[in-house]
Amino acid sequence: MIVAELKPINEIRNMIDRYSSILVVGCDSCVAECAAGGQRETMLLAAALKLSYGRENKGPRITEAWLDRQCVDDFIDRIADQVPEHEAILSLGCGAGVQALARVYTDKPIIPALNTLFIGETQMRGVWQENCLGCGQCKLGYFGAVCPVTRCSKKLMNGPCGGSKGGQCEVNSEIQCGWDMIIRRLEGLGELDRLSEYVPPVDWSTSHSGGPRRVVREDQKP
Amino acid sequence: MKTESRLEKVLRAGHFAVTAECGPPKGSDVSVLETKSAHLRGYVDAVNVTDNQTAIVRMSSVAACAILKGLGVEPVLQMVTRDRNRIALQSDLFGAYALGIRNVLCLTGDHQTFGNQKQAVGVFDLDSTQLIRTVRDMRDNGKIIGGEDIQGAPKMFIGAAENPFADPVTWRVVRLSKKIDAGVDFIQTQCIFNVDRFSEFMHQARDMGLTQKVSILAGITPIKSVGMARYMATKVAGMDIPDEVIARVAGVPKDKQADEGIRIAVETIQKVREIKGVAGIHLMAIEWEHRVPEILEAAGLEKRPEV
Amino acid sequence: METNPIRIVVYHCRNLRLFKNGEQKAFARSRPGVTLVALPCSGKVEAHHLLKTLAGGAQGVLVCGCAEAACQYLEGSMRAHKRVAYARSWLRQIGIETERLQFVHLPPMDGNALDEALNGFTARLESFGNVTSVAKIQAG
Repeated sequence: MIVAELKPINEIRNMIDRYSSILVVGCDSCVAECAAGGQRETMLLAAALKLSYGRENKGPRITEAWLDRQCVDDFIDRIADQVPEHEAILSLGCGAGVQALARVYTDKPIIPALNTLFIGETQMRGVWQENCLGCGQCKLGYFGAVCPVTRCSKKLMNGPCGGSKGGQCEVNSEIQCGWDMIIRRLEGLGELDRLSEYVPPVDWSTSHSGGPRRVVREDQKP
Repeated sequence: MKTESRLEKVLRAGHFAVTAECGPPKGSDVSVLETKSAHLRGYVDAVNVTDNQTAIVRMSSVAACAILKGLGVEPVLQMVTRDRNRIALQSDLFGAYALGIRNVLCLTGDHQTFGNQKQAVGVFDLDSTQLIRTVRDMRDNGKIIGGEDIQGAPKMFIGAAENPFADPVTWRVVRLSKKIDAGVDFIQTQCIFNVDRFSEFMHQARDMGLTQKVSILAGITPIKSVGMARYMATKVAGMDIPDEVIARVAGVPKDKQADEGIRIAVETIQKVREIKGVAGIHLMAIEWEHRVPEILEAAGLEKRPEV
Repeated sequence: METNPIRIVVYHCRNLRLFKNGEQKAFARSRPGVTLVALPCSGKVEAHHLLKTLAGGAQGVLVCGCAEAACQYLEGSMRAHKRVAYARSWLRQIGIETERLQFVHLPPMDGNALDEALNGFTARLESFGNVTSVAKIQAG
């Protein structure tokens, strides 16, 4: 899933202060899962903005709405009636959702309320961990299903650096050393031999480095 | 001989090699290099020039190496993969060789969050093992990554760093053998204070036949003060400083601690010389280059061989 | 000069049984400005309810729950307590007094305890002044 966090409210305020009517739109997929932009958070943000403007005796008209997913065209259409009645849309979707709304509602400013962070997993309620950065060349099978590109702060492919200490990354103690995890996991699986082979330089051309990516499947088109 | 490197000549002839380290200035002030090289010239076989160490912006290692060469010191170009992609790294290798540099130490580099440009992107296009292989393929096959021929191939003596004390400890010797397979010629270790643990590491390396394939230089750093010792013991990853060593430095008055640190360094040098398979020392007296001559004199290593 | 009574909404757990038959109406009459909302469990309250209640014109919201060991739904009052803290973090960001949201554990069947809690809460709110009703601004 995609993990995001709410922007500070005064940053949001700075972006939307010029509008007299705002449609606040949440997303009930990934950002609901990480408690950043789902229904609840949309209601919280709308109420908080009303209170915030109220303090200054300002009163833009604020309406709340939410979509199952903000990144899928069929779902985006569902606010089509409400959009023309507002000057701008404040989106609690991830970056994909914000931009998808902009593609559909071409005449409305779309303002992001979230900072989109990463692709990751929910480890437990309240804890989300980045674990994939979409390199397009998945080699997880060779590394005990722990990604050396994402979980290692230096994207090392041939073993840990000299800064690994007690299973922690040198960058800060809250980061687990990805290579420590890889080695332990392969040891546990009896597959440590996978690491003795030289891993050549990664082909980054399939990652974002090669340019923004697009997938087209003719068999899926209507 | 694979290269024209003086360091390679010294090692091949069987002499106990001595290398030192030199940090370039945080700017373009050449006089810093002139001062440091003056202390080291003639006392060591080669001098490492660090590459934006700790991710702090300093004069480029290639430039500083070329300057040191002009000042009569054989440089070892340290190259980190943190700041440059494969295009820039290979390009710098071409340029460094053209400027007379014959040794390169291939490193990943400290993460950029350590330095004074924390918001920079970390490149890490290659890791240190891939860089070693790249330098080796340039030298032995005359090709860059991807197989295209080189117009005048750089022939570098290839080094890497190894930390016998970093976690996971069991993995250290495996990692070393991977680097050897990739083409490394010499290794400089992290600075040693726990000689027993280093001895154990060397034992494993000998058992795996690695000391026949690579020249291992033991890292030595003189302690300047008990504060420095405590800082290294607690804040620097992969350091093993036994309590006895810290206690020894702490046990003397503040103005005598530097001398005690030097004494410990000399003793460590003498001990590691006794360990089978140790081909030399790498003396890291950062910002203390002026004391390198006395350390080497006390250890009986100040006379560098003619090769 | 008539001063407007402080508008407080009280979300209270039904299982506290704070009011015996008929007492709730009398209580409400004696305290104009106070709105009582009975819930099957204080854990029914979510953070957005609290902010919406303030945005809707309340000057303070008091959530009354059973002691944690006494909660019939095991974690209800504990969660309500945490949600008040979470809702306060939102108020902190927009510069509104966090004490406008309050959670109290009350002993069961003790209307006096509620009375005391309300007295203290009202006094605190009086010192803050009004939260301008944005609903008014939006309408006008």
